[in-house]
Amino acid sequence: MSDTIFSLHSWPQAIIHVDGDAFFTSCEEAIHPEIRGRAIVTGGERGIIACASYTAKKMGIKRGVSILDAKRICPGLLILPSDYETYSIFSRRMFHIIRQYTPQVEEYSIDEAFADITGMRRAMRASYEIIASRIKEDVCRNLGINVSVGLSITKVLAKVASKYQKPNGLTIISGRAIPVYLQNLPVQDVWGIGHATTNYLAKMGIRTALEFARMPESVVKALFTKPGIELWHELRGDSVYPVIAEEKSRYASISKTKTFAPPTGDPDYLLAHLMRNLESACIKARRYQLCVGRLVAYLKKQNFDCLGQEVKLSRPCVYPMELTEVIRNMFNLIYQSKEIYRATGIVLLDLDQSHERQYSLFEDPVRPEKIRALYKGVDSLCQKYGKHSLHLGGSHLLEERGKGHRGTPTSREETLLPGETKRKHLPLPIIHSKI
Amino acid sequence: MGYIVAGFPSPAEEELGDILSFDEYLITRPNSSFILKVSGDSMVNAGIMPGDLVIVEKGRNPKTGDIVIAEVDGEWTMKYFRKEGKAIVLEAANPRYAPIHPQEELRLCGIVTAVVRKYHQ
Repeated sequence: MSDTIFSLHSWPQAIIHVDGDAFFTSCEEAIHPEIRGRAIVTGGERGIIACASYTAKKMGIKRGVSILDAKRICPGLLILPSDYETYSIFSRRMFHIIRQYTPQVEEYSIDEAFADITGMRRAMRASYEIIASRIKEDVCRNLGINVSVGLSITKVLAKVASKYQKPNGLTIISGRAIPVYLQNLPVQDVWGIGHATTNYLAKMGIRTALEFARMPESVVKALFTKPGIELWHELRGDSVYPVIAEEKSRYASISKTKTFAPPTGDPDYLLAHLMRNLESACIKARRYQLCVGRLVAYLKKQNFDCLGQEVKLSRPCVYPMELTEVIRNMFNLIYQSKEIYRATGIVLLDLDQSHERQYSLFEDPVRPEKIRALYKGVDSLCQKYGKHSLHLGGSHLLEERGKGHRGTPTSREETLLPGETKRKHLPLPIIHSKI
Repeated sequence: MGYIVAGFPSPAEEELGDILSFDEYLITRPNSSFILKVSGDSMVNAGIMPGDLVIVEKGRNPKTGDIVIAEVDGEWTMKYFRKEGKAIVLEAANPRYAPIHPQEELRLCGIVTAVVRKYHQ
């Protein structure tokens, strides 16, 4: 079964996938050396586990479990609030370390990166295998966290490799060795294969990645759409997905959501949160000089049911002041007066880097220009005095009523070094130990 | 052929390229440096006082004379690192604390590369 040969060459390409092991809790262990090895979870501020340390995982505690359930499983569990400031410093450093081996690094998520090291053997005076192990060692030594590294000839296979041995693994799948690693791999464990595809494949009696990869091309082309065919190619060692090196400045979407405790049914308060979500999302869009074409607003009920509305804007826009009416109308359509809600959210879609402004026929072109000028002022004021220090009247209720209970502050929030303010911190992680 | 204005380059211009920021001065390897706020007094005679900030670098191998952050018997501490043959000794810069001879493998958090103390905000 595993004697199929997909690639005659061992290294037509060399792609690395670096995946942080229990990234958030590992960062916490690196800055709190005395808790190393304990059962730790993060996400305390929202009541749901965002990340569980391997010690906690061994006890059956997983991401997505509620903190209450987790405490029942492990009474000694250490529950920490998410410290995204620290996690993103670790994340940036991890990418930076990988970039010392190749410029072609894709920041796939906060704790994952792809790197194309094809052709770097001579420059690094090392084999691909050694480059992969050096990257892994460098991240571990310099950051004090473990990562799992996979090296193969396509992105999908590199991901198979990094997952193969976790945590702290280094797995190398050369072109010739592909079938060995696919023969016992359930198809649903392949990156990009979801529930629907898994069930679809099961109907044809296909359960392992190798069975999928061995399907004849004509059959695959007849039965699958583009993403399925691309995956099939990638699993066979034909690279389809490039490693996209640019830093993340192009977003397919920007979403901002806010969970508050206690949940509430108060429409004014909910609308204020939605307005604030919109303001935060637009700030991010403006930072990347993006304009919004489509907009989603949603409310999340206590039972996690989501109700949302989507609108297409008549022209691209990125200033909340022009969108307040739109949000208000969407809110009125979603909101049900007898329900209790735990979160609100906004998603900006159809983001475009367009600079030219087109106004619709019946629009006063002066007003948008005024708003644009106004937001130039708003942005520079907020840069000086803090995010949202100047905000819409529609979100002002949050300032009066508080933004909802945020839970225990992170160690970083509790540590103000001389000269630091709440908004301005030194860009280095702090080791929180009594030494 | 044209003329070239001769003269001495401005000394200010000459020096412009050689500016080192305090960041760069204090933090040689920014990707592996961390901050630690000192609370104990074990290094007072080395000039490291409670309340000082130290820059801790991970991933460097300690040499005799380095100040390290290390774990001894479950406690994290800051001490001078000294090698005596194959054995390792951790020494405080405070006569109140006796030298430590770690029996098991030493767990190292990092090496102190700089001290920062501010007298005014």
